[in-house]
Amino acid sequence: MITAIFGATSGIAKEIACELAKRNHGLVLVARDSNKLETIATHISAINPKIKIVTIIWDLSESKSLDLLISKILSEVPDIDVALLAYGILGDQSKACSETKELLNLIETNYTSACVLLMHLANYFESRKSGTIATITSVAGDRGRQSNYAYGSTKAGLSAYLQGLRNKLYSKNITVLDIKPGFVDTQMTRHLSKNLLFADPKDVAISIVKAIQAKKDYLYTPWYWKYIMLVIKNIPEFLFKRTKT
Amino acid sequence: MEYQSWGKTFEFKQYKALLETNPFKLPIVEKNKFLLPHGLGRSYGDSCLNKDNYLVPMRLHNNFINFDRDKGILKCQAGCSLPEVLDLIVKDNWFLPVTPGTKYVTIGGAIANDIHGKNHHESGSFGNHLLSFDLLRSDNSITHCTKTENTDLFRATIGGLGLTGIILNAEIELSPISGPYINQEIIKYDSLSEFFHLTEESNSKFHHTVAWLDCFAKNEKLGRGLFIRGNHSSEVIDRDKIKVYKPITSIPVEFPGFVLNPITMKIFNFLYYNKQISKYKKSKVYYDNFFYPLDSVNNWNKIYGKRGMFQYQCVISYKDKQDAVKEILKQISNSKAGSFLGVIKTFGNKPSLGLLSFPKPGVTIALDFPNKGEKTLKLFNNLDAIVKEANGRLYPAKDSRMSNEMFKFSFPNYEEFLKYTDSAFSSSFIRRVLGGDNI
Repeated sequence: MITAIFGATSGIAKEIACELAKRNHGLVLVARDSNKLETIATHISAINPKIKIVTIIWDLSESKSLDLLISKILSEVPDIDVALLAYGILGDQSKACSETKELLNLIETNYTSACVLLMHLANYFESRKSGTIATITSVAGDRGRQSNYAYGSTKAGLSAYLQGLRNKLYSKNITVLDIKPGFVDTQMTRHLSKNLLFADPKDVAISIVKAIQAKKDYLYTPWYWKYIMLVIKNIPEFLFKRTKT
Repeated sequence: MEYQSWGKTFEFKQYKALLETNPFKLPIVEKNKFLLPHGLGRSYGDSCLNKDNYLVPMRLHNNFINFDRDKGILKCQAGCSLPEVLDLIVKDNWFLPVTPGTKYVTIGGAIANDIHGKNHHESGSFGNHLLSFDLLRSDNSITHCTKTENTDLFRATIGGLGLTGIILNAEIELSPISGPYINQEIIKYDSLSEFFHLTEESNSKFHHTVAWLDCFAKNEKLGRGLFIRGNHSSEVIDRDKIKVYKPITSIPVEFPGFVLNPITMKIFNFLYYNKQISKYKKSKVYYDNFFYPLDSVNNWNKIYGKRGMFQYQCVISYKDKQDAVKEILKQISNSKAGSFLGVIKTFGNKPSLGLLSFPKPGVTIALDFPNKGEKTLKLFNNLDAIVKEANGRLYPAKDSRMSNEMFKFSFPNYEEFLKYTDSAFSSSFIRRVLGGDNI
């Protein structure tokens, strides 16, 4: 089994890659920072020296060249069984409210390029008539809130795209998994003060790998976020719009 | 960073400064501020604190570099935790050459405190199994240190409390094992002399020995406890079943001060000593339960309440060590200041490599005390006098209050050590124990 991870240097992706390595998956790791990527590839190789690890340096926010990326991957490995999109930026909400550049960057990286990549991956998987496409979105996409709606909306859009893709690819026996993590203790959340709700990326990675293997459609991780978001989603708008979160 | 060490007796504020990577460089901070590398913060006192200065979080650098499964040599970044290392090595029948009583420490912390464990009588301390490490210093140079290369820095950094620079990565010689289980024996013993007798009998036959001590016992029962000894079992199990345990429970809040008092602790000690009805009890236990019994309760230090706890760990190195140990235990028992966590063990003759290493041949006692302020500190001063008389020393990793005098007595090599510390680094501990003669 070969898994391609897009955004392999992200906190959760690294742990997923380690878990997959333990389960003897070959790996294609794509990221833009060559030094970080090499460090992670070495780390994974120490965990399981027997698997094949391919590293590709690529800027995933460059939507227009993503078809070339897929070709490059397929020139290195015979095929891909699982594709995982694990890249994204949190951005700065206050900057995104006034700076065009910040907002555009957020949307391009998190939504636009991800949709383009998913399009190419969907076509590839359709031609091989099997496989799994997994994408890390966020609980932030479940409801727009003033503190992070720029980020949240990119994830909400992505979830809707995945939902449509799932519908389209069902007859081709392809699984589309939407992963919605809550707060996870990684580089992305380093600036936030940690509390009980912060999950260990290792635990999150294990639940994601299990969900991929079980061919689930969506996953809230840790599990209790499903219920937290159920409540949040059902608060009537006339009340929610008054909140300060 | 509002951060407290394990004993929770200090409320210091420190700031975070991140290491730069590619290439590795120290963070740039204000001119009069110091750095201190920070792992998992299990030191009890202020050796891992840097009041009003900077901590450099090392857990961000927790990658493996190479694991030679044939020779049992692991090279990894210093921020790797022992659970991460165990998760990698136990499945392939390797174990840590030395492990402390908790697995929640980093490789860097293990080196910086030259940690010891239940197998010291045979294997010495962590530094004895260190092949090399790379040290980043304030001139942004990276020095490769081994027993034969840059040996001065090698010896200064082992037990060096993070004051010589930042350990980026280390190469460790692991110990081969046949499986993850330990054949454990627990023996209920009645007196200190029986402890010494058991030690003599066990040290040549068992790789791991330690005793839990009832520090409320008096008179002829002084020093009674449970002697624990074990060897790795040759029983093998399915690779997939080999896991690193996580805490099964967590203490959510600090207990109110009255919970741990002489009465409750005496009761606990009595029950714990008598939990085993028979004198000898043999069992096979998973390594995690044998080496890390306290780790199953997350944040157990919160039991000591908001005031926190002190740990007193000393080593007595003296021909009449039985008398010195008796005297220490008498003082503690009479003061009624102790607690339910007390251990005693003999150290072997393998010399520690670090200039500030704690272990030396003799007997080590480690006891937890609820922080009762002046009363506890007065007891410790009395204990210091006994330790001094017995040519012993105190352990910086556990210390919150040793004096300048006691520090210099414990570590006669301290002046040599100071030659190798890095001027960009300092800690609350070293500033306290050196007092006026500053670093």
